[in-house]
Amino acid sequence: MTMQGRDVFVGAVGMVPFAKYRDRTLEDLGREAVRAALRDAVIPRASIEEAFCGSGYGGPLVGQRVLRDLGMTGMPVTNVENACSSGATALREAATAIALGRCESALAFGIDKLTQFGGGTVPLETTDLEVSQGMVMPALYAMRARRYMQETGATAADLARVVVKSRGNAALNPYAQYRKPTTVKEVLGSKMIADPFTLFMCSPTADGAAAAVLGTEQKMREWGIAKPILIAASILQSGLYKTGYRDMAHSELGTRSARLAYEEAGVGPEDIDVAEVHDAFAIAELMYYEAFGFCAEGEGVRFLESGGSSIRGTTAVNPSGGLLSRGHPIGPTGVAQVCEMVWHLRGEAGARQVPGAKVALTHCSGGGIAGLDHGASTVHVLIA
Amino acid sequence: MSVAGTTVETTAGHWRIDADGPSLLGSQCPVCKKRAFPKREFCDSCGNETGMETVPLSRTGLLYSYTIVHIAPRGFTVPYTIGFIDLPEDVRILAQIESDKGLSIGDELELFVGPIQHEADGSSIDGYKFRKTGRR
Repeated sequence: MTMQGRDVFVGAVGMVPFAKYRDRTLEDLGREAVRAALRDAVIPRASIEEAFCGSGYGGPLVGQRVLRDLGMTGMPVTNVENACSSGATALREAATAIALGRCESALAFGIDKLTQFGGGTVPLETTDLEVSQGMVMPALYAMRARRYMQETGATAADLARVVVKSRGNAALNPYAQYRKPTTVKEVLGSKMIADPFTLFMCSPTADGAAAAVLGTEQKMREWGIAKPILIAASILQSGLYKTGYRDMAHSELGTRSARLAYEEAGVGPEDIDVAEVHDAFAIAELMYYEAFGFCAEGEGVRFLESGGSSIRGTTAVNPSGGLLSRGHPIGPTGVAQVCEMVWHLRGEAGARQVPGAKVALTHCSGGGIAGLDHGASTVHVLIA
Repeated sequence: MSVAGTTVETTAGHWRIDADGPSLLGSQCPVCKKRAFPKREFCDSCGNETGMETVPLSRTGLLYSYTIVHIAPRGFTVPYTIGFIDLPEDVRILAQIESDKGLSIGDELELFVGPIQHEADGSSIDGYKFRKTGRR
């Protein structure tokens, strides 16, 4: 099983290490990522037929602003906004355009520069009634966390252990923003943001860009791609609107997206060797272990502590350091996850390589909007 | 603000104060009876778009979850507590909570009106808030 239509492969990837680039422009970061992807496999610019750019805060025509100075003009350029799922949604649009036969090759990239806001929490729409009451993203996840802790007995120290694992993996990843190993004590002692979250339990303000070149099997041969990576599933869902009771200790949206992805790819959670999931805040990783079936419901903490999600565990989760440590610039995050998985599936991930990885999964959730679990959710299954 | 014997309704229309105190204004669908907050002219549940009624909602509810926010956009004074309160008519409200008595999931909370934001000149903006009733 695979996506509807023709098989689509990722042939080349590239990204800018996530960091705070106060003295570089958004367009400059984007060009570096696109050039890195084209260089990854020596793909001629002219062979790219369409481009899709995901960005949360990049503004009008962000894709064209990046591509202009690379001389990649004239082709259809589609700009995509879907909050934290922007980049992954752009990738899905690129894959779909190829699968359904509109083009043979496409560039998908994501880009954002959050340092433009100075710092603090990402801006949300003030027309949202909950935002006008003082809702911020860390608070939304903190309330999930408190409920999850009440229902499962998880503690703040357990949340800290998610961060300790994340920093440990990021220490091995040259693309990561925070690479210094940490301890439970240091995580718990960092500045309080939204009880029970301390600063280290929140993904940091970051700038960055990431790119992937997609194409048909024939394009892979034409470009001489040694190890094309099959996109076996590409799923986009949105949150269901509930004006009343909603279970916030479990991700209905994540679980639904996972089920659809497994069905499309014809694999199950037991087949996933490595995954990059949307750990925007420490609680999210525990909830997504369960939503994706890497462990049973309510067993997230036990799975973490058993080492099941470590690089050499049964399902390695966020070997890059995830959003918590690789960083989370919003737009490029979903594409960066795909870069990371492609490197693992090719066996090129260096010190953080998940041994023998053959099947990988990426997941981006997106956005705070009153009454919805989250605005958007994207899942990709990649097979070597 | 509230003057005895009169009804004060906010410009946004999300709450009002009458002789019995403040209440949130939701909508009720005349077809499927579903209630919602904030009120709307289209029933998201059954699709009905006519005759949506404005109804006052229960003044008390149960705390589903909460957090104390230490980092916030301009206009809010940190730290402040926000939480989700489930009203008996299956309506969930996100609101600031007065929490000086300590809070636990499942606490019964009651509606009141108080400052939730401030203007650049320091003057406060009132809105709907919740606090503990003391019952559980």
